[in-house]
Amino acid sequence: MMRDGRVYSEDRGGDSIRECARNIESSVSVIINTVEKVREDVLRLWQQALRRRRHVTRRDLAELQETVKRLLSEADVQINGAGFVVAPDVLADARLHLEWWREGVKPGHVIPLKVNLDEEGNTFYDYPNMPWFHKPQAEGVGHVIGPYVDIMGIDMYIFTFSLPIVYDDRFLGIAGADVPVGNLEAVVTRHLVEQNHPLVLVNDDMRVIASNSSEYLVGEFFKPYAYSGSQSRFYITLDHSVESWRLVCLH
Amino acid sequence: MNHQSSQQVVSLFRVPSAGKTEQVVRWLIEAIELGIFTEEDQLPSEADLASQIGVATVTVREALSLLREQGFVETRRGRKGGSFVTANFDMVHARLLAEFRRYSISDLRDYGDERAAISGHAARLAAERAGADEHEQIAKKVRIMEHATDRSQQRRADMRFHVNVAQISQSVRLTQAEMQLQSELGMFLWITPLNVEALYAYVGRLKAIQGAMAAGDSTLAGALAADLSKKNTARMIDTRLQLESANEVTTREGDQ
Repeated sequence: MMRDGRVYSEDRGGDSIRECARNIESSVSVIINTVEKVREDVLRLWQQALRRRRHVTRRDLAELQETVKRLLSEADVQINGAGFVVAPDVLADARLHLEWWREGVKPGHVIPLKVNLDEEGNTFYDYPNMPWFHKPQAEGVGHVIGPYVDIMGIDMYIFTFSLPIVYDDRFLGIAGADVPVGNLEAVVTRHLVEQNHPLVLVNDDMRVIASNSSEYLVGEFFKPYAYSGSQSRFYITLDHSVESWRLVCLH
Repeated sequence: MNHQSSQQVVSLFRVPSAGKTEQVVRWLIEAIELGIFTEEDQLPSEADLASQIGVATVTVREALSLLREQGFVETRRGRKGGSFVTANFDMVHARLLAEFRRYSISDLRDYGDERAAISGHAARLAAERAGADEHEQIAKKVRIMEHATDRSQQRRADMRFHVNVAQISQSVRLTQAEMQLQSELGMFLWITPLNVEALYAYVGRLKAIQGAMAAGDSTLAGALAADLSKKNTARMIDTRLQLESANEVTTREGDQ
């Protein structure tokens, strides 16, 4: 059971690593399902509001809080926050708006994420230009961005899962969820350390998400060519997202 | 652990969570001095300011009352009431210089040493860890600096460049350290704006860092960023020394 040296059992462990990749995939799918449910709820609220009036305001979105609260308590990956980030000029009463709820200090409580939306301000949270917003907007598909350092928002090292919300051919914004890197790691690493081979979980850009070896650290790029041995890759699909992750096994 | 870090509010131009009334006062003075709020402007509500600065509403209220006593703002009642800026540029500028004088040359050199360590290493890691999206972000920051004509724009563009580099390093700690250093003393680098020539040279330095990052040359990126910090510290110390001699002149004149 040497992980760092080059001594491994004869069994290359293809099946058990495939199993490991599936476990990771199912943990991650919980996050994606959460985002999917946020999207459904936003569409429901949107429709509801439009039945009453010709436009939608911030108040119409208030119910989302309960949905996010329930979803955060149900997910077994600790999601920091989730919600609806509204496209510019879509709401009648605010040019920019986030209906975003995050875990509070008290367990089971959620608090609104407060950011500065004053476009002239020094601390402006310029979300229309952030990859998790403009990529789903431009491409019409979901994205998983990260790991990255967020500033002006929750100021943490996170992944953002986001899905575009489209109603009547109009882009309303994105449904999203933030997962701190450490929280995802807590779920993933226990699967990785069960294996005898060095394993590296990387994102679409080959950036390391987690690994069972200190040679491959989160946030760094994994350079496949720098490793002389053989490698096998197991794909981890992220449902509606264009990105996929890979579990790289070094033999 | 997660809860602790999620409660921390340390942001660009925001006050660290341990922030006191005095730091909010300083934040507001800087904002007025940079022309973000000018004389006769109504300030945002206490609650809005609190969320922008990242402190409790009560801290903002205390800071506003201090500023009121010193004649920088006044509170008007009524339907269109609120806090209004009563200070003009000269008042806040003098106040900022007084603040600057409280730092000795050795304080400033020490600050520069820390910034060189933080910015230098951040740039080094950023060169290793930047992807295509990140290279584009940095290029955009450089372009903004190229078009920054007044000191407020220059300060903001420079700060955003450096904070972005730290962000790209993938390190939360380095990013927060960079932001704290920027909000503590970064302002004093922009007491006078860079003129066209100086700005051109400055942008050249930023481009060199950008180029080293794009080439994945971490050693070079780190060295260039540390060197820029050193140059900036020297510029800040020059300004501080000028202040010292200006001060002496006034004192001597006063003696006569």
